[in-house]
Amino acid sequence: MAVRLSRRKMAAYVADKLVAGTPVSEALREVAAYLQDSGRTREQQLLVRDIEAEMADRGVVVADVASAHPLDASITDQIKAMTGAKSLQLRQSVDESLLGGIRVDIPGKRFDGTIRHKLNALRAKQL
Amino acid sequence: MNLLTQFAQAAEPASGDVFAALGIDWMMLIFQTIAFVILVWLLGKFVYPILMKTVDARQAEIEAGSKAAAEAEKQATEAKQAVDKLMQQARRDATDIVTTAKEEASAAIEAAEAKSKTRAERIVADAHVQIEKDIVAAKKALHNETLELVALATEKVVGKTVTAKVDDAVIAAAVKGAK
Repeated sequence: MAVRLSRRKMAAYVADKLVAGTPVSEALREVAAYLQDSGRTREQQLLVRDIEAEMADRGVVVADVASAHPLDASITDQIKAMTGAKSLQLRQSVDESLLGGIRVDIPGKRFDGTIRHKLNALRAKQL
Repeated sequence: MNLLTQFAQAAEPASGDVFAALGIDWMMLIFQTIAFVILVWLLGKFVYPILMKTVDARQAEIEAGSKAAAEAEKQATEAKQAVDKLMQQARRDATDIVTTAKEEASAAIEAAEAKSKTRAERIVADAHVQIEKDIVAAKKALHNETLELVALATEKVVGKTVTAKVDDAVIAAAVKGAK
C-alpha cells in the first residue's frame, strides 16, 4: 500500500510537474492512480482546487469566468492583466441570468462584476 | 231664772243622790270601765301590734319605694346625663368621621384624577411611541419595496436592453475597476 501523502503535498507535486512541462494527461493519470490506490478518490475535487491554487502561486492561473454573453478576446487580455498571472487559462461559461458584466473565480479569490450581483447587493440593503 | 230653779228642783232626787238622779249606776259604770280596760289591753296586746307591724311594714315599703324612686330618678338623671354626654361625643365623632370621610374622599378623588392623568399621559406617550414605530416600519417597508421594485425594474429593463456590445463595455468597466 502506498505511503499516505497530504493533499497539499500532492498538489504541489502535480503543480511542479505541470509547470515543468509534463503533459497534463500524464500528471493526472499519475495522481488518479495514487488516489485509486490509496482509496481517496473522494478527494479529487479538493485536490483539483489545491492544484489550481499551487499553480496560481507559480503564476499559472486557472480562472472560471462567467458572463451573460460570450467574451470578446480583448476581455481575456484584460482579465489576465487583472489577475497578474504569467499564464492564464480560462474556463468560460455563459449564464444569461447574470444579465451583464463578468464574474471571475480564481483560486482563493472571486471578482463579481455582474449586474445580477449588483442587484443582489441592492436588495441586501433592505432594512 | 225661775225656770232653771224649777228644773233643778225637779231633777234632784228625793234621796238627795246626784248620780242616781242622773241615772248612773255605779256598779255598771265600774263594770264597763273594767271591760273597757280589758278591751284596751286586748287590743294593745293582740291587735295593735299586728296593725302597727303592718303599718310599719307598709311605711317601710313606702319609704323603700320612695328611696328606690329617688334612686331611680337619680340614676335616670345620671343616665340622661351620660346619654347626653355620649350623644355629644357621638355627634363629635360623627362630625369627625364625616370630616375625615370628606377629606379622604377628596384625597381619593385627587389621587384618582392624578392617576387617570398619569395613565392618560402614558397612553398618549405610548401612542406616540407606537406611531413613531409604525412610521419607521412604514418607511422601512417603503424603502424595501422601493429597492425591490428598482431591482425588479432594472432586471427587466437590463435583461432586454443589454446587448453583447453593451455588455462588453460593462465588462471592460468592471475589469478596469477591479484592477
